[in-house]
Amino acid sequence: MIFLFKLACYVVVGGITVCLDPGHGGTSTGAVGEYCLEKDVVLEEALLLENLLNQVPGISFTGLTRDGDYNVSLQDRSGYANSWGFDYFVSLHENAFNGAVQGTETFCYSLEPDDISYQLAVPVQSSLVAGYGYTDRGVKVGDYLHVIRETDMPAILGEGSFLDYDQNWNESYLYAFNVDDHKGIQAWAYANGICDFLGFSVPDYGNGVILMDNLSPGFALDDSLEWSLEASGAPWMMNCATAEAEQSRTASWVSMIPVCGSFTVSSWWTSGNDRSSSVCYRINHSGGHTDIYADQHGSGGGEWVLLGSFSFNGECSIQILGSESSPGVMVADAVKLVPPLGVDQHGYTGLSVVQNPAASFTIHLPSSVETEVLFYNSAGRKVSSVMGTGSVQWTPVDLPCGVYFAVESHRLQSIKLVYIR
Amino acid sequence: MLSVFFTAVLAIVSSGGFAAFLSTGGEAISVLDTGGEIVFTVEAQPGERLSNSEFGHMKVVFVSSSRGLVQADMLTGEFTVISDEHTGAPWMSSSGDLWYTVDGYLFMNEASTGVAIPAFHVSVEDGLAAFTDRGDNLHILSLESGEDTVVSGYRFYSPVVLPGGDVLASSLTGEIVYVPFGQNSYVVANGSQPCWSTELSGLFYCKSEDDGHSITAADIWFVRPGGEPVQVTFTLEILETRPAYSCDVLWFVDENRGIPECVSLDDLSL
Repeated sequence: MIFLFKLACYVVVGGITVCLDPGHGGTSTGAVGEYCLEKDVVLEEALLLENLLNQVPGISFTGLTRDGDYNVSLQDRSGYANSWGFDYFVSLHENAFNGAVQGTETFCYSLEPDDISYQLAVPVQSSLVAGYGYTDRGVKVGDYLHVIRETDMPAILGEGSFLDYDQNWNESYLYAFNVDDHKGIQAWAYANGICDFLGFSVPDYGNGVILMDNLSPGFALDDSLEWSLEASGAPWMMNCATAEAEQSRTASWVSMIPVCGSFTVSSWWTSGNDRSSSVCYRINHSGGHTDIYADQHGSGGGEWVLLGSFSFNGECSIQILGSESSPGVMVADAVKLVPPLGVDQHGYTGLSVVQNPAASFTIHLPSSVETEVLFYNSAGRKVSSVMGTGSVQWTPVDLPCGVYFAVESHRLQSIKLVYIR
Repeated sequence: MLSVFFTAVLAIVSSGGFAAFLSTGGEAISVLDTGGEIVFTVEAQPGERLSNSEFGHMKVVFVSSSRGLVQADMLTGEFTVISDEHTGAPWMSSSGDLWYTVDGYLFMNEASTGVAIPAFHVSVEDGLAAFTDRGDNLHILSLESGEDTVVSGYRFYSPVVLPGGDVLASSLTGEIVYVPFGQNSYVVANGSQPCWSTELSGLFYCKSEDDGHSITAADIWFVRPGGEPVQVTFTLEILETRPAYSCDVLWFVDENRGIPECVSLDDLSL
């Protein structure tokens, strides 16, 4: 009976099983980017995706054809998947062409509406496209691809982006340095699409960040014809919407929020001499709305600029409002919501920050011992220091708007602050 | 050489001079004789997907996405639902017994053995069951004594118990591992899709190259445990994969065209 007990610990119980297949590996590098290789990117994405799917109650087992950097033949990939009888097979790849093409595509066995792989591919493709906002190259027939043809279960193969793209941004740089959690966004997009297909609740995005772009489904412009698209230069967003900051000009982002609570809100715009120096961001939060004025003419272009911290209850709505009193071009590119927990995807707790409406900052500290926090300006000069336990308050006094850094003296952690009045 | 056109072929299992072919997409299972004649066909019903076919003793057993585990008798044409539950892949031992798992327990001929086997794929022969766990370790379990021998070191899948108790298993990293009964395991070949021939006391297997998306080169090889591998097929234009052997006939699939073919052992130099 002892052996029965031991084996029973492994017994497969009901639930959906998914096989993840990070492409290439070992000597098979796949697509080559300037800063990284396809085999490394898709492995990390697959490991992140595995972690996300393991959080979904209806999914009982997520297998990986490859969990390290080694060669796995196509026959072994399909053989492994078939031997476990997985319900679904998802192969992760990145594309490459001539450096000038960008976009997302997903392959399935057939485009027949009743084909299960097609039914899986559609929401996954939709989610991947929403994740990066790249060109939607569509769901395509991939019955010639070994892992789609030779697996017993419905199988899809995603090509998330073109790794060699280096025109308006360098795609491989984003992956290599995981700019704005580039890999995490793609892993979550796969999880979102798979869960959408299965009818399961979507797991929280790895570090809780919600990114809303001007290409996101929840983005809208006023119905005037004054808005135009301008190349963003922001790597994940392709372009941004711009218009003269007149009274009637509005742009808005609306998104569902999976968890209620307090988020820091940041915005991204592109810099330019024609920008308005006072663009109103109206944050509609659970307590009403708050208007934050951002100087798009000054510093801050081409990076995330903190607007403040607000509580949301299931939905977030942020508007940009034009103003006659502050002429110039206003830019609607992207906004980002981050839970102010300071917990990254590896579980590490670091500094986090909240900017209060009265232009002061609350710095949350990871330890409960008394800690000194030092504040530096962008030139590296120390401008202030505050002692505190659990959190410290800092109000810039006689300091200009701009970028500052809070550094915890004990552990040499830092966080960037953008001071806006 | 047999030359019957199929749209595509997913897998072959052979028995007694016949071979069963599961088509891509799980649309049909066809049984061919060595002359290329289709002698029996199972077609999927609308919305149904067939998979994990097993063939032996003139019976085709398969997993249906809608009906469960189904057995088709070639002689009578009768279809029997063995289990309408979510079962593992069927395995037919040389004695003709049908083995499979349901909810982590081993069944034989529609009756539970009470033995916990936490796997989808299980191979049973001579009182031994071989399977892999979620950590991809190989288990060789004595159904009589309960002794569980665990072999690790590779990411094993699809183990097969051979008549006599030796075990053959594939690994994700391309090793084909041979475990002589009661002895230590060793790598018998580098390749995939091993198919044991009792008559030849060796195994056919496939060595392939791919570009990460499609197979670009493939040939069938043969090796006896402890012996030197012998290349069996040499053609560049045909990608020979999925070897299956029975009654002096070697079956394989041309991965390029999805066509099953067979060649007499007399034409091979082994």
